[in-house]
Amino acid sequence: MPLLDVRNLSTVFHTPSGDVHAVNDVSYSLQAGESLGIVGESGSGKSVGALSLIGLVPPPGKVEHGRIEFQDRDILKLQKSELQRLRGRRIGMVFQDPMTSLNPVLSVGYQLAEALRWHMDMNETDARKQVIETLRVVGIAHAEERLLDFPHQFSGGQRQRIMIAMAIICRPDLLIADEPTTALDVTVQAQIVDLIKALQQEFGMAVIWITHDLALVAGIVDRVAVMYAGSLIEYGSVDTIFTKAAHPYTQCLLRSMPGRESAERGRLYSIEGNPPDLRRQTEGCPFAPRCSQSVELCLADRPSLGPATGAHCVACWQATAQ
Amino acid sequence: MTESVSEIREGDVRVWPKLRRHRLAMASLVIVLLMTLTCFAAPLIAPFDFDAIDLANIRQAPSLAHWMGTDDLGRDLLTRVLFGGRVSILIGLLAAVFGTAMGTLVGALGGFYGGRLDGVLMRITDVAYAIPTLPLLIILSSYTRATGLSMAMIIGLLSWMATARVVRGEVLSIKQMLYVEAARGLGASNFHIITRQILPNALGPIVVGATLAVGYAIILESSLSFLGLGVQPPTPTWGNLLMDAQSTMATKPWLTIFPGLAILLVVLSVNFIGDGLQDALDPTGRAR
Amino acid sequence: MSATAHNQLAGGEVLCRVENLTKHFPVRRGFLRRQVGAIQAIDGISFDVFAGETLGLVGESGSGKSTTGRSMLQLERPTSGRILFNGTDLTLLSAVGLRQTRQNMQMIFQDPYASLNPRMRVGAIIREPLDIHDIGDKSTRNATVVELLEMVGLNGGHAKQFPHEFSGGQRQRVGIARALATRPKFIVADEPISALDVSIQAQIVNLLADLKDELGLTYLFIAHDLSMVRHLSDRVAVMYLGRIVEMGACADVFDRALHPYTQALISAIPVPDPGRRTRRQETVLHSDMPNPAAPPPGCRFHTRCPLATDLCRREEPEYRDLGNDATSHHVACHYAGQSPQTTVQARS
Repeated sequence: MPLLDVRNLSTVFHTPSGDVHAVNDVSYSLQAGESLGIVGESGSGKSVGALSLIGLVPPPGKVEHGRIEFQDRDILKLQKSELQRLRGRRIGMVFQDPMTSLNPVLSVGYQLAEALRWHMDMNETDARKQVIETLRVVGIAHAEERLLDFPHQFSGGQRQRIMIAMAIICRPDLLIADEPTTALDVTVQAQIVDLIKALQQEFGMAVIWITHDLALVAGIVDRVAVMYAGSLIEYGSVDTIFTKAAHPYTQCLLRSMPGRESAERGRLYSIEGNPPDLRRQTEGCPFAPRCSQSVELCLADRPSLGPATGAHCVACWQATAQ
Repeated sequence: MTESVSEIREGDVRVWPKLRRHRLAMASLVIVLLMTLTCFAAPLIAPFDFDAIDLANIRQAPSLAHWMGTDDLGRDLLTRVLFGGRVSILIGLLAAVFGTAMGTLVGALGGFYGGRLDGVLMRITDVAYAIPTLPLLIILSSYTRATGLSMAMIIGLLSWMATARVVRGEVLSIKQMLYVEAARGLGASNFHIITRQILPNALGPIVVGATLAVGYAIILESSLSFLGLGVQPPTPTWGNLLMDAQSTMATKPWLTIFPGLAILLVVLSVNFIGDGLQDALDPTGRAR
Repeated sequence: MSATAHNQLAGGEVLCRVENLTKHFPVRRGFLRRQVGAIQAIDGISFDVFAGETLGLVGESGSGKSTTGRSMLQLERPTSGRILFNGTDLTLLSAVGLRQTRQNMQMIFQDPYASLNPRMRVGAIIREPLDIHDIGDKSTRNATVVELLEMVGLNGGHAKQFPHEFSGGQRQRVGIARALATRPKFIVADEPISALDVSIQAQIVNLLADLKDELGLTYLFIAHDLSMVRHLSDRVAVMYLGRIVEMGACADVFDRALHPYTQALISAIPVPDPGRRTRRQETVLHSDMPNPAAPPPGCRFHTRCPLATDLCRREEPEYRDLGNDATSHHVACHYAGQSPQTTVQARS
């Protein structure tokens, strides 16, 4: 029984200039303790998809369609209060920018304890112990002395650790990390990546890692889902994706990364064109206009996510034809 | 890395289409334009002369002959309201222009150059703010010849401070923008940066402030006239029409209602236009 | 080795020379805004930029790399030091002289969403430098705008549109066109691709490389993405807390890094290879960047360095050339080149 089972999720933004189909019929599943990387560029729908999972899609967006089964309950059908009990307690979320995700006028200890008070109904002493323990686990030195400090008294990397502490303080079953390292320096990024990996091991959490950096997920996740223009276009184990990527977009992404070895001063492989306008729902495959392998069928008919080989799914006419 | 969510909401900087969607503002715009046109066309369309005394028909309630009734001297109220509108609206517009221009100059210079200039300008603004407006207006207007122009200038002189503060704030934040630094990197002079880069982006609050200033100025002018200062009879202004009607508010309400309604309608409409403009000029589209 | 590196060896022409550049930002407190300290963004750095090369400048936040780029273009007035462009000391120029020189040195900014005035049409944005410097007349300026748009891969018709109608990559192309308007010789590219999608980054990098060849430009390429810097640059300088810690030809610095910080940066680059999940040769730094207003004594890097000793805590290392006769490879470390990479993982 998967921990999380997303089926046919669709989220639409009704704007004055048209309907934006931010997430288009996306399905995937996650087992307990497993980690999934959702990779995509801006406009791919990866963040909106994550927000849809926990009911935080900002208006004028709305989840129009789909089922999200978490621990055997359909989240989309939950009452607001039930959803609030789920957030923080069973599902933790880490956002991109720790500066704006932490309340600047409340002390760090207070903010962390807030989650405990709300969800676990703990008394003062127990809450304090849990807060200190969690801060220690995420690597904040001298946690006990720093409970009364405010966010601005910590560095960027430390603030992100505090964000992670807030997300895991109730020991959730699922952690959603939305670009948690994008705003950080690369050396700090390495630390945070190691931290989340270690936490996942220690607490047996499932992790959904959302990022635009395909190279980043290589070392952290078990499975990868690639999104483009709101649709899930490839899905498989991390080894498969990196060695046997079947979708032309994934292949392009892999090829456009500059190599680490002393390459000749040649041109980088780049994908022609620009990401599509999400207001116009195309008939065919969303990637077709930019795809070097596209044929008429690709422009006419939207391919669905079909199995390429077993647990490796691709939404591409060319790939499944072979 | 832009999130798709913010890209969706990112705004169009073209003002007119956005203003068109704001129905209240558009309706108000129509009302104000109509009123302004009819008032300024008063000499052509008014049924009577504004000082045509007709002692046979004094204090008449509204009727077919006199749509708004007549006053103590038999003068047609509709005519007087129309002519009064000319003065009141003109003073409102001129005062708003003066005040906004002054405020923008002070705010832009202070915000852009900062340092001591800013300190001095802001202290002047603070002092000016602290002066009670109405008493000063009263004093000033008793010293000058009360023409429309002098009234407009005086009111403008006393209402620029809010614009100055707001413009300074805007300039301070726009100054930090990357495109301003880019212009500097291109070799642009300070003058070029202020006029071509900063002010066009500060237009929002400036224009909104200007429209609100019109309403404010009309009310101030009306208050002055009501107190017997400002533009003197027989030239009608909405304010001195109200003054004339003071004693008869209960018995002959039309003398109070119509000029009052006129003021209310213009000021309210101008405020709604300001509202609509604020949303239309906001490039982020986040306001509504 | 590329042609420009040969150029450098053969005593190539120095286009821009930075001497002891220092920039401190005062920290003011209190009612009277008295200065209580200073953020030492750049602290006495010196380097040359050779004509026709691409010099990469890397570092993390607080390293001072952006400030360096901006100081070179006099967008920040240096606290001390000289910047010689074609022999002329920029710090001594009058406002008029500076404006003249600005035609020869331009900047491409990081954020394509913020670097274009949202209320100006794209054509006006690109034409602005021509207006400012009074180059040509109205018709020639418009023709130049079209030419520039096409040079960066857009088309003339785009001139009438506003920035918000374009994607990030396209906006960055507009920024590049604007930078090229006055036919500059030297371009400082301040993180030109960081805010762009991965698939677009490659497009822009290719465009920059093409333009360099076509127009004979010299670049200072500031970035934190080491892979891109390596791809585009001939030489690279690594900055940490306002100092240059290592500088040399790209191949030397990336393949044979001598400074522990450079090694840490390189090993922190995510490798798109799931097989390398257990990173073997890796230097993961502990703790975070120190406060730039209070840099550590001795070697500034010692608080995070896995090799730090007492010497490092006391004495600032000398910036010396450990290269051979053919190329220079400068390093500022007491133990440069002496220890192999070590694997250290520590929590803060």
